[in-house]
Amino acid sequence: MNDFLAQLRAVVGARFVLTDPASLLAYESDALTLFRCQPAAVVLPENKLQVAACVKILHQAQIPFAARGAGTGLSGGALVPAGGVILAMARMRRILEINADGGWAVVEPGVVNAELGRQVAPLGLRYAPDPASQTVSTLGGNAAENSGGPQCFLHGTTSQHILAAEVVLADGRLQTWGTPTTFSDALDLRGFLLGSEGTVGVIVALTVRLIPSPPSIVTLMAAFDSVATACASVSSIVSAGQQPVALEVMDQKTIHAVEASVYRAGLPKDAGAILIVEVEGVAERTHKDAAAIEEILRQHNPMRIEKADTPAKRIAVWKGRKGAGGALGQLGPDSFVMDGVVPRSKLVEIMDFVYEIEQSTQLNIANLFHAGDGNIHPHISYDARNAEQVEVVEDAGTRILRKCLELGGSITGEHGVGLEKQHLMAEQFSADEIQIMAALREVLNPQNLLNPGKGLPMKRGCAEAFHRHHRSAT
Amino acid sequence: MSKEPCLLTAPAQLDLQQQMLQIHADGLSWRAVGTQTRMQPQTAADVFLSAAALKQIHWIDAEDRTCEVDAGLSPAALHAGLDEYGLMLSHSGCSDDVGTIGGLLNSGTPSLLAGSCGLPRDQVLGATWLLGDGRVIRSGARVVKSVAGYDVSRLLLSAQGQLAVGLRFILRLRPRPSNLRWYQLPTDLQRPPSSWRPWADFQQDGRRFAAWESCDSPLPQAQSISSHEGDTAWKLARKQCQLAKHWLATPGPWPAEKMHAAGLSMQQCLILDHLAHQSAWPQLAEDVALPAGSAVLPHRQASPWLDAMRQALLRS
Ligand SMILES: Cc1cc2nc3c(=O)[nH]c(=O)nc-3n(C[C@H](O)[C@H](O)[C@H](O)COP(=O)(O)OP(=O)(O)OC[C@H]3O[C@@H](n4cnc5c(N)ncnc54)[C@H](O)[C@@H]3O)c2cc1C
Repeated sequence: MNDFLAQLRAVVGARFVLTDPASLLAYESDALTLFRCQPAAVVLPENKLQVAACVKILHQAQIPFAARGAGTGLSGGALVPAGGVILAMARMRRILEINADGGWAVVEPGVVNAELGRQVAPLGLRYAPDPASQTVSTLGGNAAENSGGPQCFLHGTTSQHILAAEVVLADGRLQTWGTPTTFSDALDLRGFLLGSEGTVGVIVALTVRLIPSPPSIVTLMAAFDSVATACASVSSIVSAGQQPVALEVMDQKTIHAVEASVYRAGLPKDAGAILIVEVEGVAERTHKDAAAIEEILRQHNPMRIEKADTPAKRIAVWKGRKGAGGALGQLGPDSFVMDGVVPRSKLVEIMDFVYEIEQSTQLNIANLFHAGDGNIHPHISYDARNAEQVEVVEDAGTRILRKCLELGGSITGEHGVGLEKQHLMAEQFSADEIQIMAALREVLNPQNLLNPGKGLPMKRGCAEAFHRHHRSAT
Repeated sequence: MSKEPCLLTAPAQLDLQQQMLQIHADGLSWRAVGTQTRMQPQTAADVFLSAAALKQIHWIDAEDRTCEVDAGLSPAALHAGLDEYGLMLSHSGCSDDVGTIGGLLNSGTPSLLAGSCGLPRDQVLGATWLLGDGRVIRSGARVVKSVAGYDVSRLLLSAQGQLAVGLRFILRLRPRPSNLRWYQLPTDLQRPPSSWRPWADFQQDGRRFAAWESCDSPLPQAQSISSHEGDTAWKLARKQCQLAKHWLATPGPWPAEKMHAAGLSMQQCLILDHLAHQSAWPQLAEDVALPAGSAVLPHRQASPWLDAMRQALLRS
């Protein structure tokens, strides 16, 4: 044990190998606090060569390890089993190159999503994927989870914005997958890496696509009496062939939580739900589209429609939407943020089911979701110290995700499977399909040292070892 | 089964599965192809297996803007099916009546719309695959967003028929443009400005054209050549984009017998040979070239991972 720690210290410097329990506490879970396990050590490499050297040492010592960005993951992804090591990317925060003409940038994995946005904005460019956690979460974490966000309705999720990735494989070899300037016809290992939840390689650099900032943006906020009406208006907008950037719904509980928090945005507290619609492009187009969308919204008898027509108003609306997760966090000691997807046409059905579950369990469930993508995020506030309540929460979550599958959807749209949803993988995929995924992963991570046990079902009961209440598998 | 290279196809998934089981039992090497209008013939194989005879549109979900189609459907047949919904696959060769959707997606062919919509391959949400041991598996999901499991679709598509035979694809669709304005751009425009994001972008006879959806002149120097609304815009777009198929001109519609022996004609080899050199683009693309700055790497970079992946897919 001490031997490999001494070797790691020799690579990164003693200050950057944390082993004292107080420091390790911050790394025992991600934003899903139901699962936890304290690592043996946390290593903070400064550059890709240090990452490669550390991985070689861990590989040789056969120590399980995982990369970690900001730890905002919501599925228990950045955790290692007891005795494992976390490679934290907090010191790898450099933007290495911005090529404005080519429309791409090369970044280290620890760069925070919003920081890249800030740096490229003066050049008239932006990085489109915008998870609500973007002021904290890292581009490495976003790539590993293939994160989404409100704007992904039009622009696609992270995987469509990563042109190339440099990775350290599980044995310490460095490889580059993808290219920024060509349509490569090589085997797309970049595509396999994105969304692999840190189990295929440690990302040490990313070449990301930058797209022009739109010259004009119009943001509409429509207040409805119910979530069902808000969802129905989403269907009408999409059916009419409109292509907004974002279509986001928040229900009344979420609106109240936001208005009671520092993210207050002047949202209408009497509304059953609000729908935020944003369009972008040249002014001529955005105004035409916004008018057409407003017309569609009116057909659904909104309580009112407001236009955030100044940058300040628009920032306030998005501050409210993107801060909603944090605001809801104040409603209870712990949060369980779910992530399921249904075909857009089934939104009303799935939301009815969520409210049924809320009624029957008496749990405190708030809803905010990427309506355009059919991606729901019921947010359950609860007390994780109460083992009985935890069981009710997890059962409710499982039932909602099963319903998503029944409606033709998926158990996760952007948060990943992690430790949390492994038990449902066998309901979305056949045994053959899971075995194929495991076999393909094994090619790149043969000894399963790299972030073991994430994404695919482990042997029965193994995920439970990370569970806060250590229940035995039934 | 004969040891001569041969091309097999069948009108039903089950028959293809039987053929693959036989290939597997005989220990033959194979490669999946469509109608071979886009494939690069660098891999020798005992058998070329084609899903080109599977041609159904299984469903179109207009509200979700998704559809599921067989690999053998031609882009033109897909778009004929999508017309009544006002939807399209983000691909400029949407009038192609040769070639198959499977071939298009597998080959990674870029499209004139790549700048605004990504590659046709980026529109794949899920797929059904025939593996080398005869198993049929699905990848991805039918919804527009899913991160459950690994992105097996992208991996298998990028192997261009060397890891699995694509049988069906679930595709993300987008609304057809309701109005387009075409511009001719200054000839001295070497690099697009950073605000460049046209709907389509291509060169023709040394001149450069681009189309934007309903907007003012994107550059002061650009000369507006036409502006169309509704169906006319769409028809013109299709006509203009149809030129793209000359990149990879094909000797004609699917003649199974013709491909029988080596699976490829001389003409195709010639074209594909040209493609091997990026510098050959200008000569090859008499009508249409890709936007400046983009290029295709036609020769597959031998991937050290391919054999290991192939083995992994066979292991039970
Ligand atoms: C309030 C809140 C709002 C959120 N909103 C959204 C949202 O809108 N959309 C969305 O998609 N998600 C959202 N999330 C979830 C989370 O923010 C994303 O999954 C994010 O991408 C995680 O980034 P991170 O840097 O925190 O990664 P971490 O949590 O540290 O890690 C996540 C996973 O990535 C792996 N990883 C991290 N860095 C690397 C690397 N360099 N190489 C390889 N693997 C790596 C880890 O091993 C782990 O498996 C939200 C979370 C919170 C708390």
